[in-house]
Amino acid sequence: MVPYKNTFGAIKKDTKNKQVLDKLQVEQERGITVKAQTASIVYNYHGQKYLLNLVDTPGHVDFTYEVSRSLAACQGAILLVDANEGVQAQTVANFYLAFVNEIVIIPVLNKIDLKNANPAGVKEQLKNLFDFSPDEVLSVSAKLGIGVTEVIEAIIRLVPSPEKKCNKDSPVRLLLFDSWFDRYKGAVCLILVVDGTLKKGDHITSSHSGKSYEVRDLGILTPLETSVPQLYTGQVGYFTANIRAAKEAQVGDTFHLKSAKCEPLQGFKPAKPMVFGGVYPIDQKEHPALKAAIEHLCLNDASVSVSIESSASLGQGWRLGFLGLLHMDVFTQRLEQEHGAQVIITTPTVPYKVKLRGGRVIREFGREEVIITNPSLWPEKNNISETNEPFVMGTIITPDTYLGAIIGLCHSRRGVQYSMRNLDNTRLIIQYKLPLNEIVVDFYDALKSLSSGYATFDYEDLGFEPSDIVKLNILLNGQVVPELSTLAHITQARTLGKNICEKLKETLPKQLFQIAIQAAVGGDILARTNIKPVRKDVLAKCYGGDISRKMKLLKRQAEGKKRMKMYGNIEVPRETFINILKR
Amino acid sequence: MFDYLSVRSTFSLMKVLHSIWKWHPIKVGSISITHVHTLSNEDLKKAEQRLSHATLPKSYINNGSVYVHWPYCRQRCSYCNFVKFIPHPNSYWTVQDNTLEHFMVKELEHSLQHSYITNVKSVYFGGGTPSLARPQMIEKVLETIQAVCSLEGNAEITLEVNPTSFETNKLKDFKSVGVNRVSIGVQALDETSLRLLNRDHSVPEALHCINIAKQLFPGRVSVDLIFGRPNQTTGSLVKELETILSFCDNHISLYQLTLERGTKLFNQHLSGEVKVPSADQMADLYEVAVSLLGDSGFKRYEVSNFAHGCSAESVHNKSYWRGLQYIGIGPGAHSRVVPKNTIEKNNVVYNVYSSKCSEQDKMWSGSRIYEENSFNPTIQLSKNFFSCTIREARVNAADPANWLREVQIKGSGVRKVTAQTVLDIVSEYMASGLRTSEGITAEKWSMFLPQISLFDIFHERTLWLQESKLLCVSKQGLKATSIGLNVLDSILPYLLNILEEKFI
Repeated sequence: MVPYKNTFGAIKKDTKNKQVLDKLQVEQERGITVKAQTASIVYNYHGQKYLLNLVDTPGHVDFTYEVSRSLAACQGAILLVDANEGVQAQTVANFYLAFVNEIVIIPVLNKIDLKNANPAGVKEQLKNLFDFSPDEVLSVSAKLGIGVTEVIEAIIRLVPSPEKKCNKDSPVRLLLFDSWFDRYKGAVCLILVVDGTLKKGDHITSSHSGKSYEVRDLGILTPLETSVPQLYTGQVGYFTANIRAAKEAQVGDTFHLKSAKCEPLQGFKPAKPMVFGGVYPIDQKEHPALKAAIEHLCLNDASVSVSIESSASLGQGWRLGFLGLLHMDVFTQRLEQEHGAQVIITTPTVPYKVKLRGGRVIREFGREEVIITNPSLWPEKNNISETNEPFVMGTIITPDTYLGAIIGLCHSRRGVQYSMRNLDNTRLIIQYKLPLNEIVVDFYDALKSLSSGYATFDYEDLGFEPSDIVKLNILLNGQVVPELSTLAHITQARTLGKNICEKLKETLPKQLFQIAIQAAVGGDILARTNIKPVRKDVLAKCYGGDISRKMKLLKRQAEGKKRMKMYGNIEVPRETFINILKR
Repeated sequence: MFDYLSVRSTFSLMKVLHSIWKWHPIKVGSISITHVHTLSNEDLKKAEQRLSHATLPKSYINNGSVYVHWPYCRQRCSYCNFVKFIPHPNSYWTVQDNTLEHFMVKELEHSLQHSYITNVKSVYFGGGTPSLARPQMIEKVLETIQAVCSLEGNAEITLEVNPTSFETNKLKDFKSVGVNRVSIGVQALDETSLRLLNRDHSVPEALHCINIAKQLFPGRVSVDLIFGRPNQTTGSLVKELETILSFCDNHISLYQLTLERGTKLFNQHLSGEVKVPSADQMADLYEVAVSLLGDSGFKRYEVSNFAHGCSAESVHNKSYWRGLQYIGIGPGAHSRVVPKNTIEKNNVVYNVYSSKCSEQDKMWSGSRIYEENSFNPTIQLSKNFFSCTIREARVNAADPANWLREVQIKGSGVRKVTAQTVLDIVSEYMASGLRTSEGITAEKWSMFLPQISLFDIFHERTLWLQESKLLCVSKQGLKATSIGLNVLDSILPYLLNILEEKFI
């Protein structure tokens, strides 16, 4: 939400300024906010000037991390609901996030200018779900400037000044709640001045690392960076201090005056990656460039976990952990758009928790309970005493006509219904407990397509619960292809195995002998198919000129074979792996 | 440059010589001045010391065959991507018969003189459509061979014949000038196919041609057929083969229709206008044909060639598959020759492009494009030996006008020369030799590479191919089984890699 009022004119009202805060290409294309942005404005209310700091946060649950970081620096939140679409699944999640942070929530309906806007209906939803009285709910059209003043004034009236939590007379203490990297200035740190006043030239120390820096520049975001000489208690702004490593600007860190003793502020919970995907360069030569691109993106997104992974078939790459699916999509899209990196993304997987059995194996893993994200590290069956998989509570809001189809979908994904109630006359809010691995691949797409795009979905983490997880192996003529092994729930292994076998049959080139493709869990063969041997492959004519041409081709093929991954005598081209492993 | 040479003493001679023979790009067809750096005597001595013994027996370097490419056709067959031109009175590529014949003879003389070949075992007139040429052309070529070296008494002289009545009528004349074998391009025995392939003859004409040819060249007539044509079924192929068997002599070449980029048929296939049999159907057709021909006494002695009795097998084509020397004459022709501008000493042939070459020779090699061979072998035993050039693969200018100009200027129409090392030679021998029922023999192998036996290289590394009944490996040699022959191109890359490893 961007205020429009001649009073501040922070942003001009013209068509060029459509998405001022959503700067990233991916944000503008998808119409979403990925990266929290801030803007500071001054408002004159009843003869008094108020400085308001606005943080625009992502709405999607994947970015809960961003949201919670921002909430920690805020005293109030505007719960913005589209007057056409009504309450979305993510509205529910974000409401509770603000609610548990005990900050003031101001419900606002946006886009009331649109033809299909139904403010009364949406207000009813807000009443049913969150117990907001319809009188509390404000209505705005940001596009036309309707109701903006009321929102600003409601903020001034309802949201308390940060002074209660702050002490302007104490030595300066700063909460770092976001940072990004500027190649010239180093890390740009977005901070809340909790105590004291920050001035240019101040020497400040990180509680986390103990390193000290001299503040080079500081300012507020209007939303462009605007230098100011000092930042006062309770103000949100940025500073740069020639911080050259992004790791030194950790979100949640407390900075304080170099000499002063300081009690660090409560940091944020570290982000917990829930969805993992392999990222490989399409061409191994691009590995260094991709590495640089990933590092660069991670500077601004500390929630991505990075570990090096090498696959015999795909080469050197990384296993990246993301907060959720959208997060993964957005990250990879940014890799491609902002860095021009051509990448292969493997099918997303989730972490599993395994309780081990047997002294030797426990010693080997170093502990009794291990988190496994890579099938190749899955312990032997007889070393496992219990397997666990992550579950989520999924919230679906849908017009009631799609109820049957949605129940069908959730059940096929091992979902267990938790609750269902009416949101209004035509809409339902349904909650399902679902295994995370059932939703990471295509659940959202399936939901969207069976509800013609009307159903919305969001989920929250429920943690690990016992579940029968097995390792599904793919065999070519009896030999396991480790790159194709996957972890799956026992009831899904057969279907998954069949799919992989069929895909292999389509993409693995015929060879000189028959190939048996099998999917197996332990010694049990769950699916099987065959590829017949090639029957004719020989040049028709081979005389004078043909020989040169043929030799050229043969040399190329021979070169190709050298690079080909062999399983027994079976050659598996990289394209086949890509086809099976990619998302 | 020579400092470099002394620093890197293992640097292969060929590379050194390549760098010596650096020249600036040359305009095609104009007399060019090449910037040739010459070696001092001392440098040359150094270079020679680096050469080891690349030997080829006299029986190899003194024997060869000749291929003559007649570049013209009456019309364009829809599947053909060979070098051919349709003559038009005013087109630049149309050269008078007399002129073309004259320069073919010039090129032949030059090429033979610059080779070690003293004995020509076979001559093949292909094209294009060589049966459109005048019988004089053949006469002149054969006379030239006899004048420069010797044409073996019973040499096989083959002419490709397009079976129109016009050309059938010329067969007698061709015989009188020395042709003793004909290969008739029948291609198909149904009119629809002949139209689709854009052939300029009818089925009765083709059958008539076979009959006449059999009278003139009894036991020396081959017919060409194309299978895998649009809409062909195993049933229709069997019928066609049965008909051809009742007409033909004792040799059949059966080629699978291949869609070559740039041909009309290829485009028709792309646009969906015609549909050729699927890979599985092709395999069915081929298997049916091989078995039917076999039952009729026609042995598959090469992937696409079937002969009734060993004596009917084509001597000329077998020499290609055996890796022997051949000289190609005419536009677009290919050659494989041990070049004569080499130093010969104690039966050892070195290929050295040195300052010892005459000025004329420099000019001769100077305007070609030299290609470094891509295998770039280095050897455990003696790196130099295996990286030295012992044979050349040459390609003539394709366009008759350009070719003619090249011959005028340099005596030869060669446009591109690729130096061949022992590895290149044995690789080619393997790729073409394994197409035959004879396979590659230990005896012929040892002619090229006596240092390592065929059996030792391949036996153990190909056990899985042997167990799959695709390849036979014995002390006598290597050959594809009858199933292996069908899928040879899938086998060859493995064999090439095994071979190449020996050279690293």
